[in-house]
Amino acid sequence: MAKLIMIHPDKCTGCKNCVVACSYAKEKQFRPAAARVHVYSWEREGISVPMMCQQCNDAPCASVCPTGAMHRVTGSTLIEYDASKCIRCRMCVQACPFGNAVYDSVTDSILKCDTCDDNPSCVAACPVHAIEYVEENVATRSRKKAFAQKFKEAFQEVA
Amino acid sequence: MYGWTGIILRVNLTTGEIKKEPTNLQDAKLFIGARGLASKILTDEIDPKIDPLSAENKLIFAPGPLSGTMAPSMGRYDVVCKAPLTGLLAASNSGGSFGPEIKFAGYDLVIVEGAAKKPVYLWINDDNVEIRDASEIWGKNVPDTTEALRAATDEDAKVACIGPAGEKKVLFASIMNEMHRAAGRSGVGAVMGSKNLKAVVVVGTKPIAVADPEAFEKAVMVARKKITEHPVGGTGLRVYGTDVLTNILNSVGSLPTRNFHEGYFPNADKFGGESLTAKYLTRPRGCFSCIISCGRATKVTNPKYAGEGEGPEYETAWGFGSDCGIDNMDAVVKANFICNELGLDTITMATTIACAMDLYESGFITGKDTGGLAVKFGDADTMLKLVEMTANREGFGDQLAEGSFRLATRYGHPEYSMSAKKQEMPAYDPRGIQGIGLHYATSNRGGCHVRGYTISPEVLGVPFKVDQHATEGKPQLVITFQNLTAALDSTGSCLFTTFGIGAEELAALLSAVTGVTYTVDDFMKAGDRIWNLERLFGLKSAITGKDDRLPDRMSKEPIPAGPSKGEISHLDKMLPEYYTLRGWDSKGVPTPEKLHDLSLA
Amino acid sequence: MQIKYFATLRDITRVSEEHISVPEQTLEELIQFLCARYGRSFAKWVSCEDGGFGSLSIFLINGTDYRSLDGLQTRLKDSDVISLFPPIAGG
Repeated sequence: MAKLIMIHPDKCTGCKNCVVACSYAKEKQFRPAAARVHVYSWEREGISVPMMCQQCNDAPCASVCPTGAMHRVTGSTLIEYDASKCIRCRMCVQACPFGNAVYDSVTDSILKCDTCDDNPSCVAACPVHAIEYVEENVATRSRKKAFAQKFKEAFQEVA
Repeated sequence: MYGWTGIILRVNLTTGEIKKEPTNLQDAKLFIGARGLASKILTDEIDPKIDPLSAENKLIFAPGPLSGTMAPSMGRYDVVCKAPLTGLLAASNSGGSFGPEIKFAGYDLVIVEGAAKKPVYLWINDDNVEIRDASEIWGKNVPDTTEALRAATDEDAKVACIGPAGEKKVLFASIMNEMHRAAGRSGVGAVMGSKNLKAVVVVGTKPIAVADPEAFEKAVMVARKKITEHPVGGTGLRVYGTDVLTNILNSVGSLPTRNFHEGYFPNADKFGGESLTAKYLTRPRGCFSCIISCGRATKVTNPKYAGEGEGPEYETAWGFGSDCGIDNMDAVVKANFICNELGLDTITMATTIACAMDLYESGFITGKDTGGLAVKFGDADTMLKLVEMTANREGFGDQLAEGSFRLATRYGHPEYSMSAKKQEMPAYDPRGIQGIGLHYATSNRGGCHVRGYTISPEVLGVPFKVDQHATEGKPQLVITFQNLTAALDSTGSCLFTTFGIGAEELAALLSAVTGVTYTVDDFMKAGDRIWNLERLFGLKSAITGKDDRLPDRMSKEPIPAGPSKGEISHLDKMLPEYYTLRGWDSKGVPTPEKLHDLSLA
Repeated sequence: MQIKYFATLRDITRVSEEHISVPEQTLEELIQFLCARYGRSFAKWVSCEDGGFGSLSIFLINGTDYRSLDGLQTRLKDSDVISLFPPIAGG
């Protein structure tokens, strides 16, 4: 079964625990700029959205990579990054439609979520389950059901 | 360098000089950071007798050594200066991500000195620091300022700024960061305004290193678990916010009502946390690395009071609610939004209006003084009008802008100001709750609840329950809470972590991050040291032991009705013991032995 | 007697207050009675059994904390106002 990182902006409080946890997992220090997940907040409205690599099926970052550094391992849902093959051309950075592949000048490498070897630190750190790591079908089912619940309540109120 | 970055940024607005200097690590060990370290630097560098609104005052933005790490709920920082409201040391604490961002830019503290000739803002982009012209944004409110400065610098920049109230030097103007987070008390925003400094804008991309990652990970796990498993830290505050306190304080008869005439307000439920959650809350919000999420994103839909923003906190709901005799929650939430947008401390604003209502109803203020406004308890629309008039120093608002003590004194009745050391007391009646009264009277920044929150044991039973009406044991309880909080504030931690962890867990986090070993005793002693440092400054700047007092109303007028009926404050019974336990003489002055023991001599 | 519910307890009972007429009894008996009426979700907050948070909850009898009276053995009268809070905090 394929797992994916699912975000729930409606639950996100904007605390950035995911950001610090990610940067710590990768570097044993706190450098949000090095995190593979970022949280954007709209302060007037009080809404925050976490963003990270979607591990696209037809991943533009992998398609444009001239050396195969950014690639999909057969049978895996993950797009992997192999720094030893990377020539730092940053085509992946240009290509990612979400801005989720980033070049980091400090480490001279591309920063992109690798799901921490199937155990994402951001998910473990989120205090409100705004980021979850779940089976694909479960993830969409629970979201559908959450909306179904709202319909149910609306109908109950009318009735 | 671990925890601390080792660098202090010093900016002189008079000369335009920008300097980076090493952090004094000996002082950092003794005073930790944030409130403690910034207070040490300020008291070393300024004459206690200066006019707080003169260029001689300094304004320090101060995160702590744990700020920016993933220790739970470390989003706080302090703004430290000499306070215009009290003449004492101000250390106003705010949340959000602004404090950690200063650390990521590479600085332990940002010290602002002098005063600019024209409006400016400070743009800190890692090593690149500029003083930039702000004349275009002068006059704008907080959200508009924040957005304009992001457009001018970096769309993700963290912005701390003043609104019109700070520009006009309202004595209780706040500094707001990320629009809704307030360094509220004592008038730090007026000091910023006096320096013609509209905002500090920060982007940081540097790392914060940890001395002992293994010990740190363990300490974080322990702290997170204890806070998460505690029913209050883990769920209660996220669901209802701090305003859940309204009903409990009212139920024990200690919800100050109509400028502290009474301690019980029959309609309090209308502005309590349950109502806030049911009718106004859109979602909980959290500061940097917070696992508690007490912040409230809220909205008022009633067209007359429409608005959106964050809050109110309990103290704000109480202040604009029962203290003004108002039960209209739409208006209370709106008043909070206006204070945040214009940059006002909600506690002093609300209680100053309550004081004006009291003076008006007693006949000491008339329509002649107010420009024809009838300033009466329970009038929500007049209350809202007065908030705006105060921020703009318009008409009668110009008098309110000086706070309740100066207002009541102007009309010959200082006893109508419900303040200690000229700063207004918050939302817990010291007649009904003895320990908090002792804390108000002795707090180093005047009336204030967050530096010795004995409400936790006296009313909430956390971590243990004591009788709210008893005086026995209260001096030691107050001292312990004051010292713990002084040390905790200085780490960058949120006070609410104490609903789950205490000195032991904080000392472990601090040791692991900084590499300096802090035992529980070291940690508590640092708190004691900071408390005494603040006291010494106060004694030199504005007060004597005689100012360790409460308004006469608290000792002479018993609570007239409700569950705490008949109670008065017994401060006189507790204060001498407090002095003795503190190691102070009978006049409230720290003894030479005490100062020597704390390395303050 | 008059029973007032706050915070989570109010969400569970769906009333902010109600009158309950029962023969003279102790606070402990009243809590047990209410736990039976409102079920496990209610009991979790007011009872110490099954890892419940009851020891941190706040029970007021006419505005006085039960721990300043005779604790759970405090005897109740029909004219009493009982306020029940789950563990709460703020500041």
